[in-house]
Amino acid sequence: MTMQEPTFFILTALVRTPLHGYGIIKAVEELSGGRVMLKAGTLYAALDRLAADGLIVVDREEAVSGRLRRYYVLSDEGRAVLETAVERLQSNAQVAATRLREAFGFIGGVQHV
Amino acid sequence: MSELERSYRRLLLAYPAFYRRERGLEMLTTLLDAAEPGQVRPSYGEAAHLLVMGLRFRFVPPTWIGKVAAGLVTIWAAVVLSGAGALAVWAVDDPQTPELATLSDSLAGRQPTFAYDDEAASLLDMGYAHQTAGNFQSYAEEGWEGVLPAPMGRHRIYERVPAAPAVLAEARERLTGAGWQTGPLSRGGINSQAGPDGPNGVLWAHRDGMLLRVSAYDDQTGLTVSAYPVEPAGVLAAALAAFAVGGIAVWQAMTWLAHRAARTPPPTRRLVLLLGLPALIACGVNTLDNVLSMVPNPHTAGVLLAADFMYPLGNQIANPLAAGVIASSLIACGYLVNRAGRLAVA
Repeated sequence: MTMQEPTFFILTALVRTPLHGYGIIKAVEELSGGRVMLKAGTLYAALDRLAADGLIVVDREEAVSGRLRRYYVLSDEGRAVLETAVERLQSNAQVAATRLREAFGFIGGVQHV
Repeated sequence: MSELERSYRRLLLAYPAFYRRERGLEMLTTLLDAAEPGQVRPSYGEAAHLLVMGLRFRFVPPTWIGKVAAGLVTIWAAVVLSGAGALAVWAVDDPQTPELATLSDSLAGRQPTFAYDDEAASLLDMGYAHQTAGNFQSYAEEGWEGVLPAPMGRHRIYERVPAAPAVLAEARERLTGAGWQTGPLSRGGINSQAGPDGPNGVLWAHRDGMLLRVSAYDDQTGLTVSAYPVEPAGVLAAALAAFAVGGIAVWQAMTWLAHRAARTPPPTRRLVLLLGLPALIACGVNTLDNVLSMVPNPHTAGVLLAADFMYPLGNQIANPLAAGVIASSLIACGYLVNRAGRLAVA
């Protein structure tokens, strides 16, 4: 199963770092270099699915003055799923890079820092 | 409460109540956290997105299994409820079998050999059973294009009537003269007792909400006179309305159940599916039975009567097995999902 980009970044954001809703939105935006901007509706639909599948768990809740912040964190199962996804992306990237290098001798326009 | 918070709260109403209880405050907090400083109302894009996502929770069950399950249960329930809509119109209209004796004996010119009424325990029973009596199997071939009968007839049988065709023709003239709307003298269908080569054997007439059918025996030595009330108007409209309203309500309830089931741990989900399977099979089979039995056999000249729209509900009363399986199976699923929900909260 291929993982969609928002899901990938939500899981990445929650590695060892319990975050609440807005924290996840900000972290995902930052981690993706501004490409993935989550809306609240999309975020919570994703959190529902990830929680139901046991990939994330609620770390703690903060209920202060009529507000509720739930902090989520990656579960062991979530970590395994994310690791699989990372390996897959790495191997995909490697395959593509190898083909490009074979064809052109270098990857055009990509600067290695 | 700020203007912005009020707007978000209103938009969150698009989500179903069970979801708002679980997530409402949390989402509101996130929305307010994410708001720009000094923002007084949600952007149009944000508002539209919340509405769409909320309605999706109400109307789109998660996973294809959830969609199939919701579809099967909804179509079954909507068809059965259409029967309830039809029953409501029948019950309000409450047609009564008309008195027949004086008119009938005068048309036949004698006393009947015997008389009987169609017996049905209830309106639903009539809707369920009338087709099996086969009274209207040749209806479309009897030349009558006026109002349709309610299948709650009163019948008088006259045996050994010489020259029955002449009596029939004379009856038509007398009825027409008395202000009845009369149909043509018809030979009746191939299923009728008159036979395809026999003389005319059937006549329909209508006056003041009473339908009269006079038919001659195949050997032309007897008459049957039957009276029916006219069927109520608006039964089809009520059945369709109940189908639509009930269907939307049940679809929402099933979407809710599917969402709840999707939130339970995988072992519970598998058990819910296992327990729900008999209900889904029963829904599919019973819906087929309801629809196919309701529509007259296309190989006969039967027509769809208003009474037939009660069949799907009458069928549940007469054969409660399917409804019993569906109800107990769904209750078990609801119990499992509910229990798992409580455990998750604890």
